[in-house]
Amino acid sequence: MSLSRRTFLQQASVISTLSLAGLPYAVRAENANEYWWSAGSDHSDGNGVAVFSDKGNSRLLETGFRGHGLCVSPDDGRIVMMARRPGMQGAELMADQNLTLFDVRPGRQFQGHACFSADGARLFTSEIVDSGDGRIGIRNAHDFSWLGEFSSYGTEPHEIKMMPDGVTLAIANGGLTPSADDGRTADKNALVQSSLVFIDSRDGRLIHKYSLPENKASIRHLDIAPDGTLVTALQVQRQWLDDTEPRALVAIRRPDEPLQLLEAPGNLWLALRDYMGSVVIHPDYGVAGVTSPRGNLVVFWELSQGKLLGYFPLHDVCGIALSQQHDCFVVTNSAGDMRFIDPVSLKELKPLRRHSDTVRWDNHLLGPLPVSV
Amino acid sequence: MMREKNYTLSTSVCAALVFTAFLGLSGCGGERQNDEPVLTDATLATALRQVTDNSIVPAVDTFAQASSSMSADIEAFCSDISADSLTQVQDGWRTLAQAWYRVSPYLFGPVNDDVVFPDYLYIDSLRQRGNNYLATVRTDISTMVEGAFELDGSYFSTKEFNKVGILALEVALFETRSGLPSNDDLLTEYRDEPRKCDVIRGLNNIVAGYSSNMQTEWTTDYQNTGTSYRDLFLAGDTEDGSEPLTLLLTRAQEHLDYLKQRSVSSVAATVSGETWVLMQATLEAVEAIVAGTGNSGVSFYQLMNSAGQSTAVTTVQENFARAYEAIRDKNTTDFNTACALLDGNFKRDIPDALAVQLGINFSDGD
Repeated sequence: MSLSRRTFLQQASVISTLSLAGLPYAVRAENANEYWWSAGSDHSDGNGVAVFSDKGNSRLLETGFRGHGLCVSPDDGRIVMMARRPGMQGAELMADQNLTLFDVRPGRQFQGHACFSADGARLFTSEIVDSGDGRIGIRNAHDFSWLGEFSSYGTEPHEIKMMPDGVTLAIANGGLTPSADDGRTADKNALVQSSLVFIDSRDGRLIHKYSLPENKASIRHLDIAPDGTLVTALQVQRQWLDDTEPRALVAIRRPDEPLQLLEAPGNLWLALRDYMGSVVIHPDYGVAGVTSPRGNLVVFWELSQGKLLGYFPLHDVCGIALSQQHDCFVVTNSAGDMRFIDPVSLKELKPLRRHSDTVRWDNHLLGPLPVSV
Repeated sequence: MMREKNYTLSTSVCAALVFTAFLGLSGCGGERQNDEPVLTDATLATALRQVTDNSIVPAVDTFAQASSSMSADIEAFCSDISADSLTQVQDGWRTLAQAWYRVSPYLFGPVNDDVVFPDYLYIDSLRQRGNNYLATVRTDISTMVEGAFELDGSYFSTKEFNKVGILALEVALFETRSGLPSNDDLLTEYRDEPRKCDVIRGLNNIVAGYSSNMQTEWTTDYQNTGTSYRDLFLAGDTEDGSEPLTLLLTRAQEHLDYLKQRSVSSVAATVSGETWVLMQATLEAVEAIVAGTGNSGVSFYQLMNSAGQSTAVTTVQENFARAYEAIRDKNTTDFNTACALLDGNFKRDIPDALAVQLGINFSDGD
């Protein structure tokens, strides 16, 4: 049982052993540790960037807001974490152990995700205006000054990522018009108009736009393989459906093909409880892992044929990434657990288990990024 | 600058520590039998063990025994079709259904060991998102009675989950194939259609198989590990790595959510008219998790009180009282409201008072 609020004093002495000296993060060095990053919180509801080393140390770097998605710059390994929607801030983790915070522009709300341009010079952020119309904000990736914005060609863009060509931006337009009250709760009368959109990141030109036959399915998260295969994780707004039939929650878009739903037994979709939270593609094995925190499951599909491979249970699992050598899927949950899953057998490598008594992992996992210490 | 988190004690833990200190000052000689237990890792583990041994395992045992008794009742009825033997087998079903509803807040471990087709669906198809397969079951019973194929174990072993379980048994035992509810008509039908006895034998054998397996796995050997699930559970060796108390509270909360979301009190056991008896049984099972039983030395209520959370205890008790009142009034709206309140209690108030983390509760759109 999670008893850390009673036992933290015993453990507090060991959680601050991690040094962040010697950044930048992405520079691999002799004796480097691997560090995993996520939005996180502690048991006193402090929010920030959670960092966890492969040696088992963890700590929370407070940002003052609950974070969501993280991305790493391709040139020098700087990490940016965006606030959970409706977000007002983003945070960059600096090499000198400082945080640089930047604010959303008036009349806009951050939507929890961002990505860098291929050269690391620009930062693209998913944003909305009050009506829910989507924007892709463009900032100088070094000082976060505002450079402009594009349309997302849809409502409520959520996760965005750069395609392997380094030019095309993939956008998951969630389609949920948020309420004016809290900026989150979707209006029950609002139609979901979710779409997967590809734009040219140089000029904002629309390249492709795809939607799904189920208009109550919200396309929210995505990952992209080096060959351009893209997998999206969906969330179905069951409260707007008048039936209890299962709905597919994962879709794939292979290069030059339309977006199509992956298949699984109906009872498996039902067990996932209409909610997939995060996705990662293992390019070496052509396998996608998709997490369902409500279903307490990670589900794996082979991508060339779209075949369901299996599933792995973990309570409240959401974060998923690949290990440094791509020898494991790595998943995290809100209890502070980290599990390593063999991508072939889909079995857990139990000796690698990690647990933080002090930090709760939030939705998304970034890493590992080696740090010389 | 980056700020390190300064950890602070939560109110409940402070209260527990203050209370502990008070006991330390006033105890003068240690723990007495009537001392209020203090919230510690050890007392939480004790309370969990007592819920397991006094509520969960006995519920599983009772369900298995009820199913076994049903087998005997069915044999007695089919060998001597009479008003008395029909009443007996109907009472047997009532006992079986109540026993199941006392197990159903604990849908983890042996009863839920397959993601796609968990065992519990073959006992209670309503658990699949509240889908009511009454029409499917009625059609299938007629197909079996009218058919010429053999109604043996091989046939029943391939039945889909939505054609078996306590719902199928209920339909077969409480109404005729044309939907007549009188026992006189039922007796006539059973006398005229001997295959219907084969139907209830086969259906009960399925439930008996699952209930027996559930009992064995909880008490003796879970999935050929050589260890009972009871022992694995209490040792924290759960399927998805959940802490056992987290698992128990989460499943109870999901059960309350299921009762409310699927308006179970308006669709369950409508053929037999046992709906509210089953709601009473399942609420009592949920309440036993926090209130304990007569055999409990330490209950979660007591631990919540000791942590200074008596207001939370009172709130939960009031919501249970509200649910029981709705059951007495047979008021679905009020019952669903009470279940929603209890759902919130199991999601927030109880874990918070016990300093147990259930999870972040990820929201739509994240």
